[in-house]
Amino acid sequence: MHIPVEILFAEDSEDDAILTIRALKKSGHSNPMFHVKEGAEALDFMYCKGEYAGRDINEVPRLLLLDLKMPKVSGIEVLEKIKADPIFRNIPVVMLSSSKEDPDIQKCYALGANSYIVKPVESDNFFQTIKNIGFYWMILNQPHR
Amino acid sequence: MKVSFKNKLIILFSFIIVGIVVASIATYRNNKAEKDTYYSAQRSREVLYESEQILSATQDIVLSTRGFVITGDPSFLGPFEINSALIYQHYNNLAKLVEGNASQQARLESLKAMLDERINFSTLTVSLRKEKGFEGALKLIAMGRGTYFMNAIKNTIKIIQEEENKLHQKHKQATLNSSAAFSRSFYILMGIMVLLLLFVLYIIRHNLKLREKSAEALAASEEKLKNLINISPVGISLSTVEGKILESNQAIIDMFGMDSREDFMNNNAADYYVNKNDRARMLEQFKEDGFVKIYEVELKRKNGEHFWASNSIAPFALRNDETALLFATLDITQIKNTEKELKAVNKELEAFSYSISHDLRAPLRGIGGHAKILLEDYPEKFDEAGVSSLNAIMNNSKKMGVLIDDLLSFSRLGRKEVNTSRIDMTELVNSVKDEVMMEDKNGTAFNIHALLPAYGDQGLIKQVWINLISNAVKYSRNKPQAFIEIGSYTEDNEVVYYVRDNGAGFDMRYYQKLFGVFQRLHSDRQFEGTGIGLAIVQKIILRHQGSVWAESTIDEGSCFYFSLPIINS
Repeated sequence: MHIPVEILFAEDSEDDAILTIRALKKSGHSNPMFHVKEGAEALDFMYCKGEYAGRDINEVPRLLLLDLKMPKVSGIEVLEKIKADPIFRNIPVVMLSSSKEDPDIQKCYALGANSYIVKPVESDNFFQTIKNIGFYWMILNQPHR
Repeated sequence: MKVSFKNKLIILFSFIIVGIVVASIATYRNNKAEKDTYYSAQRSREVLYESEQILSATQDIVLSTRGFVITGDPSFLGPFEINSALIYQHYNNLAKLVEGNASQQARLESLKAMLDERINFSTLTVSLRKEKGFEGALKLIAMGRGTYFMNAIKNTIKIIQEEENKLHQKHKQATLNSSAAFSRSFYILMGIMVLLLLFVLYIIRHNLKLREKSAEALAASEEKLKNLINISPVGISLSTVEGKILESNQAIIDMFGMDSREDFMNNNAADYYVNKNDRARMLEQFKEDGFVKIYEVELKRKNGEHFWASNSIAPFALRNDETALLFATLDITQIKNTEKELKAVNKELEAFSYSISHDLRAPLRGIGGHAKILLEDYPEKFDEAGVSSLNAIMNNSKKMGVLIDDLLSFSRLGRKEVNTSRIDMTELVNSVKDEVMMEDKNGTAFNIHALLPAYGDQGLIKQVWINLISNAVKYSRNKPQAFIEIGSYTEDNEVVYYVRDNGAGFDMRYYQKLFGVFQRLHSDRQFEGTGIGLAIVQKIILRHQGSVWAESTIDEGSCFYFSLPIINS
């Protein structure tokens, strides 16, 4: 199956998902985005397993937006797996988190995260942040291929 | 100048010895003088004797000559030769006796001449009698020469004798004088020596008394020390390097659960360690540093129970010069447990904070976010009141987010370690001011004096400045021209920093609430804020052992002070 995707977005919170997707849409990015609700699904998607068995593994997203805390398989575990894999290693991974806690930040960077963004509580800020992420990674940044 | 007991004795005895030596020398000289006097008396007597002999011999010659002249009997001349010889013999003796006395010698010389003349005269008279008979001799005698010389001889001898006497008397008098002086000095010297000896006696007695007193004091102090050691809750023991236990107090016997002192001291010290190597390592450190302070080690009690203790060791010299180890052992089981509990509590708190930071924030985003969706995507569905409500929802959720952040910072402050280092306050304040000014649209003017450096946690003190300076800016924004002055000075043992603004000020009547958590002295409408900024400042400064205070006049401005102790490195 062919699922066009440039941004793979993993987020378990309904509210956060709605707000993020809306923000990206509203900021004018028309990049196709795919939303999964937790880490295991994200990995299935990437490795074309389970539900996504029919996917073409060469259709690699340009950006991975991962929420830190997700049930079962967390964003950090997904990050670890992706960055350890030579095929997916070069995909930029942006971690989204509510937490500004140092140990989390350290761990993510140690595992190879390209960016760590704290989700602002305030909605205007949140909107702007997501917009900036979209702009930076999809427009400014040069993909590896 | 304190002279030691030993030196005092040495000095005094030196004086006494010197005194004895002086007395001996003086006595010797006095004795010699008296001996000399005796000899001089002796000599005077001899001079007298010899001179008398000369006189008598001369007289005999005169008599015998006269006898012969008168009688013509040669038997009268018998003694003549003998007497001549005697005269010269005695004369020689006399000469020897007056050796050294120039005047006497001179007289003796003239005496000799006279004697010679007289003898010659007698000899002449005799020959004349023999040759010319009585008449002839008489003529010679009548000339008076013989008599003349005889008188001269008598006179001279008398003078010699008188002179000799005078000398002797002078000598005797001198000796008497010096003897008298000697006696006086001698008795005075003896008197002084007796005094010195009495003084020595006194000093010795005094010293003995002092020793007695200090022995008493020592005994009392030892008693006090012994009691102190026995009632001390800290375990005190003395053992050799090899581990033989020499002494122990009650506390350490109890600590190990032993029944008696013998019980405790029977074992080798190393037996009480869970790990024998620990004791060896501890002793290594002792050998290196000469002491051990608070060395934590695991020990075991009689019933096998392990427990943590802290050992401090000091050297103790035994009577045989061997160095023993004096131990102070503290059972820190309680402390360790409390430490563990504290660590656990802190960890719990950390988990709690983490949870708050994550889980409380997410729904807030939802609340605010959806309100925004309504506002932006369905504006036509809401009238003014509705829009205002939606805005209120967004603002409130935003505020709650800030509250959560503030609460978290505040709680974290209590657990954060304070890393002290030297802070260049001028640099720090200027960088904070630049950061704060990036958001300031009010054209606030700053006057930052050169600030004294201080010791503290760079990060935490920066937070203090951020809070104080942003407060100053915030509360001054209604003034046409805001002025903020920052300076420092020293007072007592502290460095005091102040931030002065000409802003809204606060009511001093509510000063107690100023640093309270979430306490505000202005409404949110006047100035936004959660009321945590100053509470954070106070907490940080208190952790630095400093103080915070403030003064203000409403509408004229405020001045906030904080102090940091001066640490001399």
